Order: sequence, then C-alpha cells, then structure tokens
Amino acid sequence: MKTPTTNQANQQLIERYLDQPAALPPGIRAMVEGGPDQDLVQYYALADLDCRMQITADWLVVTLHTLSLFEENSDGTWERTRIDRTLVDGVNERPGLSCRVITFTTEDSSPLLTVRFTYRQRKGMEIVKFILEQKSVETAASDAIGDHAYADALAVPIREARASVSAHRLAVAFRLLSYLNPYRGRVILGMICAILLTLMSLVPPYLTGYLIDSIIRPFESGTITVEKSWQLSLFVLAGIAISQLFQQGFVWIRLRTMAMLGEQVAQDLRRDLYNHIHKLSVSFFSKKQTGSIISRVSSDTDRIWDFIAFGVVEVSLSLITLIALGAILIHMDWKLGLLISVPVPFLIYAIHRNGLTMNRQFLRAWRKWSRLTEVLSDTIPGIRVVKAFHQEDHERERFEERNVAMSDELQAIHATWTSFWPVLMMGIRSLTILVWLFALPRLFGTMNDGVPTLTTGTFIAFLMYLGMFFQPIEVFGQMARMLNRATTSAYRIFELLDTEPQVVEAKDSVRLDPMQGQITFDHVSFSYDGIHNVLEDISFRVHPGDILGIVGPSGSGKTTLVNLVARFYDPTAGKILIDGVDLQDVELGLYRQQIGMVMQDPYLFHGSILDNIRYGQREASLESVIEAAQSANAHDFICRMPQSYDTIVGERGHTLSGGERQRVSIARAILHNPRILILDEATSSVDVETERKIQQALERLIEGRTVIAIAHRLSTLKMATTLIALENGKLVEKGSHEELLAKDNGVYRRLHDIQRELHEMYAV
Amino acid sequence: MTMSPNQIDLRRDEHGRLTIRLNGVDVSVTARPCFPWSHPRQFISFRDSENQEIALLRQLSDLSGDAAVALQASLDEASFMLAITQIDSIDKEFELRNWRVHTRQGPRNFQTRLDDWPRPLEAGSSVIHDVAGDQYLLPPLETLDPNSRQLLWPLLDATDKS
Repeated sequence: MKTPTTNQANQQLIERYLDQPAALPPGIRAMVEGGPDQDLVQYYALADLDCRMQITADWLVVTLHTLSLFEENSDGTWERTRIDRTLVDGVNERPGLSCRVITFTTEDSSPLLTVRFTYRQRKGMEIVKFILEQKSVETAASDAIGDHAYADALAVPIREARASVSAHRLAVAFRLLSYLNPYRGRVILGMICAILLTLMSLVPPYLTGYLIDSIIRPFESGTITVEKSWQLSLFVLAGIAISQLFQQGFVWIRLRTMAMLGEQVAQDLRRDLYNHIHKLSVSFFSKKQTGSIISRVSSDTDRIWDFIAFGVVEVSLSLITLIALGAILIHMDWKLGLLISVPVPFLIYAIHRNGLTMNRQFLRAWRKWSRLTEVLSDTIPGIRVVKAFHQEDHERERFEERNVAMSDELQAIHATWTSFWPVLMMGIRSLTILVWLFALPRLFGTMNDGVPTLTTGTFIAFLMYLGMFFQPIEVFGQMARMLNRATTSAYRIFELLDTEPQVVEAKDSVRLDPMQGQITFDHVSFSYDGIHNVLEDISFRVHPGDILGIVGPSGSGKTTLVNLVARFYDPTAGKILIDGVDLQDVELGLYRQQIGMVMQDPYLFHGSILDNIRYGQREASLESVIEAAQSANAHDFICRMPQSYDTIVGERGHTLSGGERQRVSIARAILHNPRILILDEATSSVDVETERKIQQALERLIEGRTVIAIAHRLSTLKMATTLIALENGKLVEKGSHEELLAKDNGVYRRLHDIQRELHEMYAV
Repeated sequence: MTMSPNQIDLRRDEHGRLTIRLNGVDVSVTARPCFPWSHPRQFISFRDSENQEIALLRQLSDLSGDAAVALQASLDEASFMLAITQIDSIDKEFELRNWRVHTRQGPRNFQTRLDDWPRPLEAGSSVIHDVAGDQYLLPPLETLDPNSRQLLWPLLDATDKS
C-alpha cells in the first residue's frame, strides 16, 4: 500500500500541472456521506466532457450502494443523478481519438447513465468501471483509498514523464555542490588561485600607469636622470613580468585543480549512479527507457564535470573581476568609471535576450535534428528491407529533404549570432570612444586653463583595465545557460539516485545455505498497477527436485509467476515460501545465487563465449566450462568456430544463432549449478534438430534441481512431475500430464490438442 | 467483411450507442475509422463488444438517410480532439513541456514530453499528444494570434511534412 506521503505528492502534481481538483469536492462527499442512508464514497473519477463535448467537471462516484453522477449548477450546488448499484450490469465503452464514452446499462442492456471524458481521466474511470464490474458491494473503502486511487491515476503519466526531483533549481545546484565537500581543500585552493589571479591581473595596468606618470613624463620634463629612469623602469618591468609569471602559475594550478576535481566528482556521481541502478527493482527499468538511463550515467555526468571544472570558478572569477575592476575604475576616475559601469547591466541584458532568441532557434534545430536522425535510426537497422524493396532513392530523398531543413535552421542560427556579436562589440568599442571623448579635454586641460586634470599614465592604466572589463560580462551573459544545463543534468541524476527500490531486503534476513528448493505459493495475488490482478489467489507446492510445468494462453500470468519466484517483484497478497521461509525474509543475494534462469530469448553480454559461460561463476576452471558446454550440447559448435571459446559474441550475442545462444545460456546455467531452475519457453522459435539438442541439454540441466518450466512443447511438458494451467491469472487446473489430459475441455487438454495438430501438420 | 451500403442498417440512440442490424438482429457496435488521420471518412470498421470486426464500410458517403446521420455522429464522437484556439504559455521544465491553452472546448493545461513534436496534418494543421494520451489539434500557424504564433514557432512550421 502506498503511503500518504505519496498521495500528497500526487495531489501536489495535480494542483501544479492540471487544472482540476486534487480530490472529490467536500460538498459532494458531504451529500453522499451526510445523508440518512449512511452511505460511503468508495471510488470516484472526473467526467471532464459534457454531452456537447465541452470541458466540464462532473463527478462519477461509486458508493457502497449507488453509482452517482454529480453535475455542478451555476450557483455552485450539485445536481445528483443516482442509480442503485445493483441495477448496473453492463458497461458499453466507446473509445475515440481523444475521448471515451461509457454507458452503464442494466441486465437487459437498457442505458442507465452515460459519461464522457478525455484520456486524462481514463485510468480513474477504469478503476470505477472495474469496481462496478466486480459487483463486490461489500468491499469497503476508506477515504484515503478512494482519494489515493483518483490522485494516482491522474499523476502517474506526469510522474513517469518528468524528473521526480521537484526541488528549486538553486537547491539542486547546492546539492550538486555538496559533492565538492570531500574535496574542500582543493576547492579552496582553486578559489584562492582564482582570487590571486584576479589581483595579479590588476598589477600590470597599475605599473604601466606608474611607468608613464612617475618615470617617463618626469624624465621628459628633466625632473629625473636617465640612469634613475632606466633603473626605475627595470624595476617596473620586472614587476610586470613577475605578475605575469604568477598569473600563469595561478591559471595552471586553478585549471589543473578544478579540471581534476570535476572529473573526480563526475566519477563519484557515475559510481553512485551505477551502484544505485543495481539496487533498483525490475519495475523501474520497465518504466524508463534504456537510452535515458544510459545518458544519465554518461553525458549528464560529463556536463557536471564541465560545470564544476569551469563553471563554478569562471562565474566566481567573473564576479570578483567585475566588482574589483568597477571599484578600481571608479576609484581612479569616478566620472569615467561611472561612464563605463552604468551601461554594464544593459549589456548583460542584451546578451541574455540574444541567448533567449538563440534558444528558440536551437529548439527548432533540435526538432529538425530529431527528424533527420529518425531517418537514420529507421534505415540503418532496416537496410536489408530498404534494399529488398529497392527504396534507396526514396530514402535518399527523405534524408536530403530533412538534411536541407536542418541546415536551414543552422544557417539561421549562424545569421543571428554573427549579426549580434559585431553589434555588441561595436557598442563596447563605442564606450571606449566615448571614454576618449570625455578624457581628451581633461588630458589637454582645455576646460581648466590648460592644466590637465587627468594624467596620461592614469588614462593608459584606465584603458588597460577597460580592456579587461568586458570579458566577465560575456561570461555572465552565458551563465544562465550554463546553470540551466548543469541543473537539468543534476535533476536527472538525482532523480535516479532518489528512486527507492521496491524490492527491499529484510533487516534480519534468513540465510538459506544451502537451499533445499521447496517452493510454496500460498494464496498469492499480484498486480502491476494496484488495481487489476495479473495473478489471483494462486496456491501450489513444488517439492525439492520436482519439475513444475506451467501452461496457459498468452497473457495468463505465466511469466509474472516466475518473476515472483525470482523475487523481481513482491506479491500484493499472499506469500511465497522457500523451504518454509517467507521469500521476503530470505537473504536476497544468496537466494539469487542459488537460482538460475534460461529465458526464451537468452541474453548474452558483449565478450567471449568463455566470459558468458562463466558469468555466474567467475572463478570456474576451464575444465568445468568445457564440461558445462558439453552437457549443453554447445561444445561442438563452439569448437567449430575459428576462435572457439574466445570468440567474441558481439552485443547481445548477435553473432550466434538463436539455438546457439540458447545452448550457451544453458551451459551458463549448468555451470552456475542452481538449486531452483526457471525455464521460460526455452525451446520455442528453434528448428526441430536444434530443439532436440536443447532438449537433451535441458534434461541434463534439470537433474536434481527444483524446476519451474513454462512450456508449450509436449516434450518439455511430459518431463513435469506436476502441471498447472493458468487462465486470466487464475490457477484453473493442477495435476499430472495424464490427469489433465483426461479433463475434457480443460485448458491443458486444449493446448495439448493444438500442439499435436500442429506437429501433425508439419509432419505431413 | 466489406459490406455494401444497402446492407448496413445503422441506428444511434440518445446515449450515442450505435447498433447495426444483421440478419434481423440488432448488434451493439462501435465505429472505428481505419485511417483516422489520413482518410477519416473511408474504411469504417464496425466492431462488437468483443472488439471483433463484424462489418467494414468502404466510404461514409455511400450511406444515406438516417444511417449516414447516425454514423456521422458516431465518427464525430470517435474523432473528437481538443482544438487549440490560443496558447497562453509553453514552459519548458525538466523533461516536460507545460502548455497552458484555450481550446474550442474550454481552457486546458497539459504536458508533453520534451522530444514529442506536433505531427503535421493536411492543410497546415497539426496534432500533438500529451503524456496522458490526449490529442490536441493545432490550427495552421498563420491563423493564430501573434503571441500564440511566437510561442508555437519553435515547435512548428508550415513546411513540415510527416
């Protein structure tokens, strides 16, 4: 059961993103529960379209005794259409492109009530429909369950689409910076270097001004001698050289420290992410796209490095430089200083505005880029189909059309920035001209009876400081984009790190070492969405060394059942006992070490055949690897390959055939030597000869183990000690092969007959 | 099976339920256009409560009288979309784009994934779907007010082809 905190989070999402109430209006609840018949709201959903298909806010409410539709009057009161629940017998549902219409009917199909709603309300309505179809009026519900079901149904699509970290952008930036805590010393060193670098960069202009005003001009006026001038000049030049040397030294220390530190933080994040990924439940991976998870570990951590290595210091450095220079310029000459400082906010704003325009253009280019890569991701994997249907010209045209479209967008972007920067630079240079215009009269003293009020040295120093003044402005203009990129990546990383695994190990878990392999299902039910049971009230027992065969049509819950045995999910009701211990109390790592799986589509990792067979037993001897491969009927085909066991199988083992991959996976399972073995339709989709070889391999593999086998093949089913048949998530038959065959119209008998007919057809 | 128009006897009740008379028996059906975007009025599949096809009509225009009116009303319902008339804002968030719009049916907020783009239709219109699966019809860019046009401009242009 979800916690109230989850419900609050769902309600916050609804309030933030959807313009509809986060729960049933209190007025409606009061009307239902405050009446004389002591009724209770169970579940409810919003019907957001009226009969004219206009947006509205009607409420469909299921209570213990009634199904009601509440429509709001213009005065805020509610009009109730009330139907006895016992009258509702059928549901007529009409799906559309963006709406659904449901008519509830009586036993003789007479309409009782019709509601219309958009897809946003679909899941909530399905809950209501499901409850009515179950006809279980005695099912009591608390307010919390109804509220939770409604809020969860609305919030799930948003929750799954967005990053779940909802903190403010700055809070995320600070959390990111907290990763610098273990490296405080190096951060301080980097910052000190940045400050010293700024201070050192202020020295040369000052010394230059001093050289002109205190050495060159006095020498020109004959106040000091040549020797003295030369001596003083050498000191000043030495000062400038030393300050330059220190500057480059500080640059070196800062860049080296922060670049390495950024890499260290990125490495920490990658490690934390990858470790956390292995703790997450299987359900997480079915909701997130593989590409999205991979990019969080790779490109997102890389962006973080960029931010820490350069962003943090660059921004701090620019801020320090801008403030220090502004103060110096105003101190040197407040009139000229103000002349330069006042336009700075306007320049930053202009850069920011240009950034916004560029962002819009980049968005268009991104869209065009997606359209271009669509063609690539379509045609490259499907190149055989393209060639087989001789569609190369069509594909070339499709690519070229999108290539031109994308190129046009990029040209527009280049046109924008190439126009903006010269204009901006012109503005900045105009300021320099303006400074000259204001400074020259004061240098000549034309407004002070020929007595200069500004010295040449001061003015030269001023111009040199001015040259340094504009670079920080550019950094500030780009700061928003840099921060945006870094925090977006940080959100995506923290979302993954904050995801809690759904399958958790008990604190005082029981070590089953060694495990006997007895499996008991005790009234087990399971639901992926919390509403619809995929498995319902399943009970059976498998003794150590027995083989349980599971049969049933597609979608009957066979794979879900074996996923529960592997504890990829926990049951929503009932218990699974292993050797008499609740599986949720068993030490998970040790348990999984003792189970093995051979899947319908076996997964091999990129690497050699040897690596793949040894995947579960890293230290296994070469002799035992070959024995396992021989038992799996794999040794011969492996040895026929030029590189034998050292053959690289490629990504997902694509260089091997389906049957070969299957036999390598059986060899892997044999070497793993599990106590419980799960076979999920291991011999489907292979030819008869390969099936025979796999079958022989499986017979050797299952000796002495508890086996749960999902199978369609008669040969596999005949090996089973016990068979169970599933249909719509329910266990409908249990017994031996002969017992189930004896049942006329039984599920097993039906599947068996179809199999036999197919065999006969192929035999003919 | 493809049916000739004179074999199709359709009725629609006040609750919008469509029935087709086959061999003298009324069967409750839903009408599903096979090509809802490209040819919405051709090849209409009639499906029973088990979602099995019981009849296929080649052209809506082949029908006449009450049957045509009944089917037209059902198709209007089946092809319903929220039609955007004005866009107040499109805000980018983490992995989401948050739209605040006015539709012909009323005001609406909805969210799309960042990499979901409007799908161009005929005559300059386009359609975008939100994270819940609802479809929104966008009119041609040039028919919108300047603010809406500016907001939509990065996501759409008239020359896009699907």
